[in-house]
Amino acid sequence: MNTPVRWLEAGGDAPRGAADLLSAAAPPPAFSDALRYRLALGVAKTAALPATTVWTSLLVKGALVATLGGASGFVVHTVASKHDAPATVSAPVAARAVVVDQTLGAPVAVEALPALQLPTAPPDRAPRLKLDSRLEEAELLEKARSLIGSNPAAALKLTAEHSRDFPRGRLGAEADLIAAQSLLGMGKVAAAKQRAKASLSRYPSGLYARQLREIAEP
Amino acid sequence: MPGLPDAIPRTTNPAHDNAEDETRLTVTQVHERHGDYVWRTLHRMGVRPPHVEDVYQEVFLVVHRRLRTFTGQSAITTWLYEICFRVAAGYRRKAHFRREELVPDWSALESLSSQAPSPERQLATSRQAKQLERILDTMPLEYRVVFVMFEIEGMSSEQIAETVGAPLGTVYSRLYRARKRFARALSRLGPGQMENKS
Repeated sequence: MNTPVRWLEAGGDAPRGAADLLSAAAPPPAFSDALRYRLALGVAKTAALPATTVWTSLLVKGALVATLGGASGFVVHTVASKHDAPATVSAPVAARAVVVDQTLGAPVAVEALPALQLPTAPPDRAPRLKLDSRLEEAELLEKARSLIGSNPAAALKLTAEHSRDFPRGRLGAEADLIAAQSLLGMGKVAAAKQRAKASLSRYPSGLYARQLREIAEP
Repeated sequence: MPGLPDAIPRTTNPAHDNAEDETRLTVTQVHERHGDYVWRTLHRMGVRPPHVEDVYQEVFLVVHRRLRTFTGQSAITTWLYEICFRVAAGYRRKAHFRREELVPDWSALESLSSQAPSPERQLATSRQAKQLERILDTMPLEYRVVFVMFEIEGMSSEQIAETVGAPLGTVYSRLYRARKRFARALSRLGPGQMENKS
């Protein structure tokens, strides 16, 4: 692959006006000694904190958010349950419902309230948000690649996810390479070779052919 | 592709290229060795001078929290880049939420005063810098970083790949998409809104 020519260089096919704007870019503020020292003071304060304190603080915040979320969810669920179960509503509850509705206008019987359609069980898997499938595909594989060294099984799982979600994806060869490297990391040499060979038959002169060949034919 | 590296190369700085040593660094040592890199990275990601020191400290709070998890499997700069990316993305979201205008550092333009022959030229340059920042702010962060490093800072593709911890192909792809977005944004500006130096 040829290295692209910069827009500011001769032969760079910059759109009209782009070169002027790029030339006007403000340089990054200098990382002066004074700045380094000032920042070091803040970093030193951070360093004085035990890492567990930071974790604890975050855990406490997380627990608080979860508690508040859970409480609000419980309230919503309780109200929805009342609306959904007219046959078993007790008299005091029905009375409260009427009182509440009086504030909005004419009293409404509990039986007359529309039933809320709440999901009875969570879906098996949240639908993937399709904002930019190409970018999403690349991000999924980048995540997989980052896991090869530390958690090859998880990386392999992500490549399977890639095959399922992007059957016509543009990065199939890259996914194959990540899968083969993950299998190697898991000690499954034969499976890694098989995966690499299968990929080479599909992409014999692809971007990752050399690396796949090294795995297939060491 | 013959030119594609087998793996993302580690930093080429001999003082910092021993990843095993880097796993034993303290947070203050990371600041001493790589503070400059974090500072420049945040700037590339569009974090502006009024906020950059706070964001820098936020980065090092995460570094402090997660330093034990750095195993040296990648260059520490790649690891730091990922932290910067996440923190800067949060900063962007907050700025967007508050509908703040992310303006460039005008003080940085003072250095141009000696080169600029006239106040009119300085003003034009300032406006162009502002237009540039506005366009860059519309780009996804991963595109913006690659575009800034390649087109403005003049870094090589290999250096960019090393810095962002991505394969060369990914760098080219991001650059291509960034250029497309830049050209589209530029065409929306129209000739009436463009600042010309001449």
